[in-house]
Amino acid sequence: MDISFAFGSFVVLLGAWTIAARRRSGLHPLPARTAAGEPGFLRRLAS
Amino acid sequence: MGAVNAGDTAWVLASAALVMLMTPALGFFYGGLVRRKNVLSTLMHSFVALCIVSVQWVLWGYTLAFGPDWHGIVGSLAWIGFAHVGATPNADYAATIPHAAFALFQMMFAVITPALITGAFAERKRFGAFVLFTVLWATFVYDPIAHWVWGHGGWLARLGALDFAGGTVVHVSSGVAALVAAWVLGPRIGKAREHEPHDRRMMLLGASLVWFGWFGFNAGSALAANGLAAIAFVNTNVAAAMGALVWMTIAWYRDGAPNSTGAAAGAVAGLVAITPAAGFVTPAAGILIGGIAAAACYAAVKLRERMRVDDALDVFPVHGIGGTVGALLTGVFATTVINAGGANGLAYGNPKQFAIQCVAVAASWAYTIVVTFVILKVVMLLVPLRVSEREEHLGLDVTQHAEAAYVH
Repeated sequence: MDISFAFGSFVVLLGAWTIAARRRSGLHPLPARTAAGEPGFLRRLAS
Repeated sequence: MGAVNAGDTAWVLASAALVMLMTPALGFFYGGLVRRKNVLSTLMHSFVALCIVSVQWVLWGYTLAFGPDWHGIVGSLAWIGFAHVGATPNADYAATIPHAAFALFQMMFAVITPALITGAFAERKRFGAFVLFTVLWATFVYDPIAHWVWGHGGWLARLGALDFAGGTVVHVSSGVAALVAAWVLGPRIGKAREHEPHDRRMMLLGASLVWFGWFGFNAGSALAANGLAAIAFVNTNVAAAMGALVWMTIAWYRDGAPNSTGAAAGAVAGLVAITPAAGFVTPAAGILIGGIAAAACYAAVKLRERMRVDDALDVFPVHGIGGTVGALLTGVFATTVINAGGANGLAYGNPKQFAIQCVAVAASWAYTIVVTFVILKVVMLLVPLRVSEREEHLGLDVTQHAEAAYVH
């Protein structure tokens, strides 16, 4: 139980770091599926 | 199940604390070598590496490195979240200290290794990219190589490779990764003469504290408060001293002055090279190893300066080459007179040990080059590795951390 929560919180932090870094770089918070910017699974899920 | 020895446990816990100090000390060493607009970002690389890898190590790093063996390549996930890592000893690693003390000591090695790489991409790497790189590199490069060499059942350990405190695991891996990272990121803007160190006092203080912490790194690797720890302690000190003296002398002749940067770099080169050998060689061999490594690393720095790869703080020449020289010389000077659990080297009539050391070094180089390159490409898919040209001109302290190191 405690291991699951510890893992979960670290994975959430990893996601938060990625999003923060992308926003700071002027990018969409979630990566696109293609170089042309076609939305991928994460963006479709979020929209 | 062996009994816990109070003296051994106290020494290993104290050593873990000494090694912990090395990482912020490394930050000050690197921090003094960068320009004043990038000091905080450089310090933050080391400080945050300490935070990230401390958590990663407990969650999955330790089990990948030291968990029950999987085909000699990596540890299984049986000890995930420090499961089965508690107050009783694990005789496979250290029979007289709590398993948790061993795991904690090893954690500090896992922390400093990715922190060492940061010197290569100083002054231009985006902080978010550094954070993601550190998690991935610790997981996919450090942990497997640590298992190969130190893990129970690791393929290099079974082959008989000698690495007392991390010549291949820590220094070859970080040094070679630094070269790959510097190459992928590209050089900093401006000419080399514009990249002068901003505070050599900070650099020298950082180097001195790194030297101090290295006593825990090497003598602590005896995993007991015994004679072997004392020998490793002596070797560590004497190799650092000889390394500093040799580098300083070469610089005096070739560059015209016995400069402080050279003395500090020489000491670190000596410390790096003695790391794999500290518990296997005599103090006289320790002097030789420190001196040879300093000369080799000096030559590597000069060679690197002619290359287009901007390894900003010479991590590859000092750690990559120093680690390689130290690992190979361990195969020359190791003697069972010092450590009956080790082996004799080439100088004591056993050329096979030198060949084994060559295999360990070559495997670490090859694996690190390939996997570090792949990791950098994966990080690039998520976030840009480099700051923009404007951000690089302004400095990473302000643009990445919204702070300045110096008010005036």
